[in-house]
Amino acid sequence: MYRYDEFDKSFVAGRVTQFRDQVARRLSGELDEEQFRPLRLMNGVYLQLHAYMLRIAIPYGTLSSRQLRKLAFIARRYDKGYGHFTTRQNIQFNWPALKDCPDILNELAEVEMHAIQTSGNCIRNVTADQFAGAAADEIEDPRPYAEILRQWSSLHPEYSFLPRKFKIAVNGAAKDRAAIRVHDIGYQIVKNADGEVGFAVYVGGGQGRTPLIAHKIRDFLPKVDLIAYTNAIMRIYNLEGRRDNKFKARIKILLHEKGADTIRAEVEAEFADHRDDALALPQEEIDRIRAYFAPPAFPARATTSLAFEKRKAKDPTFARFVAQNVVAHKTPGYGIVTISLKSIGGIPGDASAEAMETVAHLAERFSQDEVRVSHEQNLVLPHVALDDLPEVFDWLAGQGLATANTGLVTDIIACPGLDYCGLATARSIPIAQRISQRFGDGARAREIGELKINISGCINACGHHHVGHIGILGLEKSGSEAYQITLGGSADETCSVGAITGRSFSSDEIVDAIETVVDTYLKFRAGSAEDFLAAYRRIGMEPFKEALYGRE
Amino acid sequence: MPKVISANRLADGIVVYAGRDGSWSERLSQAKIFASKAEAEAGLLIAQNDAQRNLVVEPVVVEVTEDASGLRAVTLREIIRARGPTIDFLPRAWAFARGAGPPPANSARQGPKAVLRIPRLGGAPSVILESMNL
Repeated sequence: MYRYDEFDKSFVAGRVTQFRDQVARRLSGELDEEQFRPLRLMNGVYLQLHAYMLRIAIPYGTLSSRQLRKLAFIARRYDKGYGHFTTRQNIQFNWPALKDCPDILNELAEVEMHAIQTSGNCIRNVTADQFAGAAADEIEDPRPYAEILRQWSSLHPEYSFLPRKFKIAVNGAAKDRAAIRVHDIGYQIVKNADGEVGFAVYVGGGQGRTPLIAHKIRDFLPKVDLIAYTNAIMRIYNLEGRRDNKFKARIKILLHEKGADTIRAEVEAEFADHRDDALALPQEEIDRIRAYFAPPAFPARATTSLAFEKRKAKDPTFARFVAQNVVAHKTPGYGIVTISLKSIGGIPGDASAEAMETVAHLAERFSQDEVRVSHEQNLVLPHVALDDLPEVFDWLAGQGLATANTGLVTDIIACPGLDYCGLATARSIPIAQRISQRFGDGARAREIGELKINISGCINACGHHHVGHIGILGLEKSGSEAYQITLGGSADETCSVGAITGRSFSSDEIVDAIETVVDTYLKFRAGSAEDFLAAYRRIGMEPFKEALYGRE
Repeated sequence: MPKVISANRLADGIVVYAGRDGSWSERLSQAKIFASKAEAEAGLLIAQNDAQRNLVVEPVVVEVTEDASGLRAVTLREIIRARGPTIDFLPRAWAFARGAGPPPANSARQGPKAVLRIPRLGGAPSVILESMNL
């Protein structure tokens, strides 16, 4: 993992001191709300419906046990005993007092964490594949590049007041687990014909009220040019991105209005002008950062674990957990374990302080001290020996953390919605809970197979509804909550934006409507090997419309 | 429609209502009721003084109804602001450890199947929303 150097330490500590002074001046009245708002937002402090909310950055979703324990401590000491993991691999606390926020940031600084780049019109916390450095299908670990981008972009003076927020994701395997095509910039690590590793560059993706899929503007970018090319994109956006209309200010609109070819030409010209200056990324610097992410020294294990195989054979609950929540590790004899934060009927992404401590303990003991946060709002133990899996499973099961539903219909992404959020138009969490209860944890959910349901409580789309296989968008209609369904969205390498089925459904109707959609899929699928998305792409919208609305 | 004035307290962000005695209360039931728009606007000016005195943030006028059971916010957003999240969000250990003390008014855990009645504007029939308390 990346460790702070002296510069990072003094930089983060300096920010805490500065914010402590700003909060004191706000509380004393020296600063009014208008003056203070941008300052608190630059430190991740929002004001939501019921209280302040503090959003803490988890760079590229990687945490140590010590850091996760600190989050548990903060949850208990300064909040109501829980936190909410978000779709950008961050964590939010929903109830901190403003007066406590400097102390919380001080606690975070002790474990090399902060809330910088979690708000405002800057380059936000860079995200990455949650299986980075562990996945068997990986070309290269994306996190060193995410870290390099973080160091370059943190408080970058030229890019601290962009037309709008700016999100970058880096993915290291052919399978896109970082949703890079719905980011402002998505870097996909690729190998060219000469066997050189570099990046395919995607620009202009995003969700919100105008969902657009990123355009690939370059097939191969050498590593040495990562910063220079990012800088060129940022320059073009900063100059040409619209500042007259907040809703048209993201780079996706610029690409849409000017065309990808025009923007590509402009970026390439800007890049060519500045390619040789101080922005070149030397191999020594890449190696220095990569050293922090070097794979841990895994004790050698047999490819086949007897303890693991025996338990699997005699314990169907364990076998189901393995089938659903464990994937192949690049090192033989190891697995990657997803810990679902989607218990049946639970609140997606919420974790109690006790759950965080359990996971921290397991990471320390069984996963090389590492935990990951996925953009699907789950936690991951990236490096677990198969020999240890039965024990890890027993620990998780004992804490109610062994729900075997990764990728299933109940592994729902949901934003906080109107239960917390000042922007929301409808509730998301209760809908997720009801859907989860309807389908449950049994044979039915497994029969349905892979199915991603994403729920947003407003058009800002924090719940990624546009790219859910089934998306649900909560709206307000004549004073009541109404829910629009979209079908066929996907956030992976086959990225697509879901299409709206038709009129919206009331809160009472929406769970039945989702069940109708699922039943329609089961009726029309070409066998259980054809998952929902594949079936939808083959049969199209009509059978679903017919089932939902009949001849109305 | 009667109105009250609500804001978030500066120091901790908790939802508060302008009370009858000039103070700010966490309970909607303690709020001062303004019968007309003009009265509410006058009340809002006073509340804005409190915002300038750094007691509260962003005071606004909130429409309410009053019946035998007391004051009730009209919009779902304000109902949720008044009563807290409609979900059972407190971890068991936390709720248990603090079970003896009174919970803050706007984060009260609701009973099983709590029903939020939302009268529609214009006197249309009530919409009933069931909150999930699992």
